[in-house]
Amino acid sequence: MIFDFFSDNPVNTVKTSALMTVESVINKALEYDPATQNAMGELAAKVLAIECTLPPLTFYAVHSETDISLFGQYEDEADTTIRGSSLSLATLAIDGQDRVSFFDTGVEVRGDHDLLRQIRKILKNLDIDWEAALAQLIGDVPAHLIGESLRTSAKWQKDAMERASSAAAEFSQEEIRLTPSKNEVEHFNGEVKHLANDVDRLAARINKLSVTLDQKSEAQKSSNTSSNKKNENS
Amino acid sequence: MADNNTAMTNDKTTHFGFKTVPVEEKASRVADVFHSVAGKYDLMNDLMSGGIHRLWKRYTIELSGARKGHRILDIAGGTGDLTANFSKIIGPTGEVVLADINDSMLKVGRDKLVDKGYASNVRYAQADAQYLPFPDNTFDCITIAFGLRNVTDKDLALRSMNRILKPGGRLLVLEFSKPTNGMLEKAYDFYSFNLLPKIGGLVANDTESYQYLAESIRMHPDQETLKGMMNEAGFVNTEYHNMTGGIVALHRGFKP
Repeated sequence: MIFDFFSDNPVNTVKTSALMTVESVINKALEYDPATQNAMGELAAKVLAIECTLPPLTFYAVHSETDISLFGQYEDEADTTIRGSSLSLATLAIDGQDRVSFFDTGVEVRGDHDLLRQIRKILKNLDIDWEAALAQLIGDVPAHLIGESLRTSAKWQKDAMERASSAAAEFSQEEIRLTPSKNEVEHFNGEVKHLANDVDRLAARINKLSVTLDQKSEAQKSSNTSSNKKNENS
Repeated sequence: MADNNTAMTNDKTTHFGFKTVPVEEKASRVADVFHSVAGKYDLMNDLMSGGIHRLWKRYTIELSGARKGHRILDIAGGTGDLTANFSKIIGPTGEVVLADINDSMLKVGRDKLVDKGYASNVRYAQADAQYLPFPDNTFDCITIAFGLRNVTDKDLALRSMNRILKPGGRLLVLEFSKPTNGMLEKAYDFYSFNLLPKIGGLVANDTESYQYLAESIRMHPDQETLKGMMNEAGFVNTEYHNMTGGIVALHRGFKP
């Protein structure tokens, strides 16, 4: 019964709770990215309506100078409304491209397109200081140690991936000769390019000869015609 | 709740919880309660409701119709939960006034809001809900959350709110009410009269104030009665939404 928040529509309880939780997580994360918080000042009191078609869910993001509020209802018209499936909305949020138009994204945009561009720009530049967030919970030194070990682990993973990729390429090229080496491919590409240039030059030459032949043939025809007329007159 | 649905039992006495006290005494007694609990108010709200009071307040904001540039009055605003949210929505061109009759609550609310950076569009007023010190037709929206039951003359307060609302403006009253389910009501009564004062004693070191809270909730008008009172005060299209099985109800009415 405690979750029977609205007697006529208990689903709204879940929706409101979920929105409040997401809002709280977003705002907490924003606290650790002061640059993004400053950038949000430009969006103060702007409202973005998000209409998700699959699953069906509509909510409103009301921006303030430093954070956002997510509401299930908003009685005024939103500055910008975006409508699409959860997949297309998520893709639009994270694709990071500078878009002039949104027509090929699967997302319908109504209202102020510039607001959406501003929000996407802010999302693109999001850089949350997770170590600072962790430090609030467990203290500076442990957070730094965990941060360092995660960074080292990430670097090791990146190096390992690069080494594995390099070793696989070498095995494929040198040991089993399944694929050509980079130099071989470059040489082959150079030869193809050279051949293509030669073919182009030959084609131009043939074309020039053809034109010359055509001109000579035309001159011959006109010479024959004039001599025929002379003969007829004489 | 036979005679409980009217604020005053007669011209000279009124209710203070289950006690009957002289009218002029109620305000000071209520003030003492809130002076006592102001410091632990937010913590106690979370403890008593299991955090659900945040959902009740969120729904109040959603039904407020607040938007950019609005002027909003948060009566009995206490520690400023509603005010903080309104401040974000109305933006730099709007204004929200946090009003409370109790200076301790107002100080706690003001400190909390200023600490969180809500300053540019928030004003503060120590005001009695029965005699609101604002010109006629001033606000687009007025809210009173968990405050109306402490007001001595509720009818007078509702008329005062109606006066300062702009035509088309709305009043939202978020208040404890009457559970709609008998089983829930029994469990709620047990919780209110047995556990709640103990929690108050342990956390806020004040059993009596939380005993008063439980009693004042029972003395408060039920959903239909309050709706009728709002209509009497001049509001139209009045409606209410029960929340958590009617433990809390949100009433909304518009000034014609």
